[in-house]
Amino acid sequence: MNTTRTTTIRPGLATRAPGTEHERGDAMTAVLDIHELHRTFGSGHTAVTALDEVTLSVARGELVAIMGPSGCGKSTLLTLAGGLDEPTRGRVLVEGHDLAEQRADARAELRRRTIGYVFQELNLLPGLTAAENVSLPLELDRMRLREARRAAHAVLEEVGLTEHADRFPEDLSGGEQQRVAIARALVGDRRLLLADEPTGALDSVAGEGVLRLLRRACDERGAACVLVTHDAAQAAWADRIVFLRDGRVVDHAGAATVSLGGGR
Amino acid sequence: MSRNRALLRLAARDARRDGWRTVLVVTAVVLPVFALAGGILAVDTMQPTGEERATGLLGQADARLSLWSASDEHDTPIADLDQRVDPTVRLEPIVNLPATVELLDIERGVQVSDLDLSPDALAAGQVELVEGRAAVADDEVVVTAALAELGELAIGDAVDVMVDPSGSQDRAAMIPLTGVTVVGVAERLEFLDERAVYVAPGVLPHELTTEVLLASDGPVDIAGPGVLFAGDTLTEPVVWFVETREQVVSQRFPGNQRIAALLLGGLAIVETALLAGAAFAVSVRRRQRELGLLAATGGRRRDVRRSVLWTGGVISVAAGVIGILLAIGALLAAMPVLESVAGRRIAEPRIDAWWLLTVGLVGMAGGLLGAWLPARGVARLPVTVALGGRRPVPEGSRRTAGAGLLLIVFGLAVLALPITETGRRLLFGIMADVIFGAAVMLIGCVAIVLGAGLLSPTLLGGLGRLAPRLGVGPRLAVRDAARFRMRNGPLVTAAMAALAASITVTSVLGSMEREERAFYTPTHAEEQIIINGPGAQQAAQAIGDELGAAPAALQQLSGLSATTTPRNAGGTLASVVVATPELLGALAQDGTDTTVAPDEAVLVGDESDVVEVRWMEDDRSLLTVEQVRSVPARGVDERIGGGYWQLPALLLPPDLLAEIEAVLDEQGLQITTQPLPNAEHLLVLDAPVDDEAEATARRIGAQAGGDGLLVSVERGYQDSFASVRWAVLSVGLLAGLAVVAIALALAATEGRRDTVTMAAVGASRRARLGLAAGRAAVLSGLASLLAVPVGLAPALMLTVPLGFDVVIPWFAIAVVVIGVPVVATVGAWLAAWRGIDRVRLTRVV
Repeated sequence: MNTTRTTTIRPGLATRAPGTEHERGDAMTAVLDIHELHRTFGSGHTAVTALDEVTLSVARGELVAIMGPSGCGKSTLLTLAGGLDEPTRGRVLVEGHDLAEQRADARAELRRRTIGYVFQELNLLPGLTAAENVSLPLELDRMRLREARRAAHAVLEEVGLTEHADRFPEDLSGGEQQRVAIARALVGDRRLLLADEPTGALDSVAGEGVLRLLRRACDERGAACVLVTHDAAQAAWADRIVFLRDGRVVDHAGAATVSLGGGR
Repeated sequence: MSRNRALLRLAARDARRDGWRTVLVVTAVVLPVFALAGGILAVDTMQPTGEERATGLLGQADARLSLWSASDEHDTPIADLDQRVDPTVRLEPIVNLPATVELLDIERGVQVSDLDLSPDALAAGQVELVEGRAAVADDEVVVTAALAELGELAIGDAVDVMVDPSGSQDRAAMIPLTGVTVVGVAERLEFLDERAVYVAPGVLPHELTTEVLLASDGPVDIAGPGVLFAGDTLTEPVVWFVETREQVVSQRFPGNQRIAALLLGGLAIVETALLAGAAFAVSVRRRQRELGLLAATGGRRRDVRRSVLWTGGVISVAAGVIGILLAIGALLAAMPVLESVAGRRIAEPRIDAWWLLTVGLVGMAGGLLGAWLPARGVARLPVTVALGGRRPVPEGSRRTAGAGLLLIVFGLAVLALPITETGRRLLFGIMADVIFGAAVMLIGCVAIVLGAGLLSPTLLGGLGRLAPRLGVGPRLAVRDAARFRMRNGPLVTAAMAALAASITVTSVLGSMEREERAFYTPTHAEEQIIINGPGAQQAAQAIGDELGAAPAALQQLSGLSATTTPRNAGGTLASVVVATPELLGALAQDGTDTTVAPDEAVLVGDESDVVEVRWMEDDRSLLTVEQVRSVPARGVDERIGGGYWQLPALLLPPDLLAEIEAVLDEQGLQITTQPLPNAEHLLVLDAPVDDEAEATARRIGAQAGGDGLLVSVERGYQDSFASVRWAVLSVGLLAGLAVVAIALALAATEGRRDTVTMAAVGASRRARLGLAAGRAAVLSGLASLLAVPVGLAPALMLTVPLGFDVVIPWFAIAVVVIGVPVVATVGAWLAAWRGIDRVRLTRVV
């Protein structure tokens, strides 16, 4: 750990203006700022509240783990943070941009340039090689093909997959695929990583490798990272942990509180 | 047994779970089964059985004598027939003659018959009284329902019937039945549309008998020698035709429809298998983990295979049964329509269970064939791979591609057979069976399509090599097409087959059309309308009034042989007509003096020096006309020849005709010409007859003329194949697009996860739409491009042996190559536009 991080988990925290400094940090900027987020699915008697008044802020270089039992709203929180879904109430700000005020194309642009997703199910496009999967956001952003490939190779080198750049996903192991997915989430200097149980489909060795990459992205690239997990050992890689139950933030803790000696 | 029950249960559940893919397979099986079964049922039901045919013609009789031909110079020797046949034979002579009845001020042609309508008559069963009673008195008649409806006749109405024994329409020779009362309405069961009048037996002269029904109570061979007559004929030159009940019952009509149905069934099974195969491939992919579990829990390869095949079987059987039930339902619903089309009373629908079963099995076989390859593929998958959910992409083997190439070569060779003399004799000569030749040609076409189908995965795989050079959207589309080539191949083939068929048919029909156009000969000038048939005079007058032209009668002088000097071809003039100023005005060029001098013949359309016109009869010259005026004809196309009448024509004035005792009175020229009211009439307009004028002429002709009035207009060559070509092209395009749509729907289902991933990495809505459109462009483009050579090859092979110039249907090719991909791409874009936001991104995340 070579950076100092200050975290805040405050249900009901008053909204801060975008770009203001963190009140308990040393001039840290919140990359992700979620305020009183509420999401209900269905209506009437069948209405289900997935998230209820959740407020959360994640600063640059910070890794926050979201824990909780199945159905507590972890994944919903992530989809709302990434602009893949729209909240019933509340606001999500990514680098100061209120997602609710942005059109679909602008949100897509945010996902290309700012937000990187890592899914539990190895969501690589099977029709593209590893390098093409990594360069996909850049190509979609109309970067020249050669530059996009160069950038992709650079990130693949970071995750140790240079020699697999031209392989298709089906020729890679699960761990390798997830490393490609992380490379895709990092490419283009993205500042917010959203990882939804990224090790769920991997064995423990491969899973640890993935977590190490996420940690390194926060530490070395200064990315903010939200890691959804139900595994305390994985949560120990985080700077702080947010506990969700029935859609509400019920507790928060520093990593040491739940650390089981997991391996940073 | 219990294992099969478990698999059956699984299959039924999977079929339900597969939702729209099951619907797709069911539709793919139901449609051909319904069409084939419905077609066969309808044809079977409309065709009478041998017994029905015999009753329709013979009633209860064992045989029938029909007058084949007769001469006016000899009496019909029917009077003494009863004395010449075996005494045990019962006879029932019938007089059946043409007649006219004036109904609603229009003279209608009918048949008059003295058929005995009583239940114990030999004729019983031919005609059924539906209202009233049979005629018993001289002044009573029964009319058929068709005639009653036409003339709005009811029981108690009086009609005038003019019986025309000679068929010459010579009123003087007619037998009038004036003021007879309609006492009954009947139906001729096998000929519902017949307009007939039934008089009481004995009303018509016995010597005019045209038909005799015979029956024998004993074991007498009615048609045997010596029973009816001493020889084969009664007396010369009257010839009688003998038909026995056995002959009529055993008459068989060629089973071409069924052979055609089976050939179509063969094509349908290919199309069904291609569509169903793709749907099953997706289902199997989705069930892969479950099938892996089946294998992991002790299931053998064949159990896994059976599990998929049971699903295919359950769906196909259900679809086959649905198709057959729908066909039977449609048959029952369409019975009144079938009766109307067949023109006979159909007692009950005829349902041939064996044929239905065959058709159902054809559909089911298509469905099962579609399930076979995916079932075989998943059964061979290693259990760990199946359980791991990994999706190895099956690759097209070189052996498959090789087999495809072989099939294409075989198909081309078969189609090329008629190019050689030996091949022509083999297909159409020695076998002397067009159906056989057509079947062989069809096999050639199917071989080419199947070959292209086997080759298409390799082509799709090759297409994938272009991907690295393309942008993200097209790259993904091409790679998807290549990755799923084993699923896309059959679908591309199905679309290609539909599009290729439309190119083949439009090319062949285009070649036939070009041939017809080259040899087309107009029958008369394009500004003329010719009216002939019953009521021609009134009709011509009415049409002329409406279109502003004066009608001229074309009274052909049959038997008049006119020669000219110098002689024109053949030395005679085919058209010799009665000259009137109106006719001369109609035929001759504008500015011609239309006065008809009493001693002058007018030759229209031949300006050679005519010195003499003669009418020869029995080598005697009855008439010599030395004063002949030649005038140019109007609007004559030099190609005109044949048809209703010909130019040059000779117009003879009535005064000259009177000299040879050809008297022109109100009825026209007696003896030598048709009566005036039915003579051909000519109307000449100021300009070529356009669509509107033609429609007007036909409408007024139908109103003012009698039954069978013909209004003939020369419009130049009309492309008789145009509508068929358009219909075939449209159906081919729709079928091709439908298959492409199915391919895209399957691709969209498979690619939903990719679409969501694209969204998550920031692909704009436009980029995602582009991916959907790119898939459509790749699949439809490949199908369209393949369709051109596959469609043109059979066209070439089919038209060359016929000696036709091959027409390349550029328009159809352009529509297929450009139109189909554009429509498919735009359609996919629009479909994705509507659906793209409905894909919940959160489902995958």
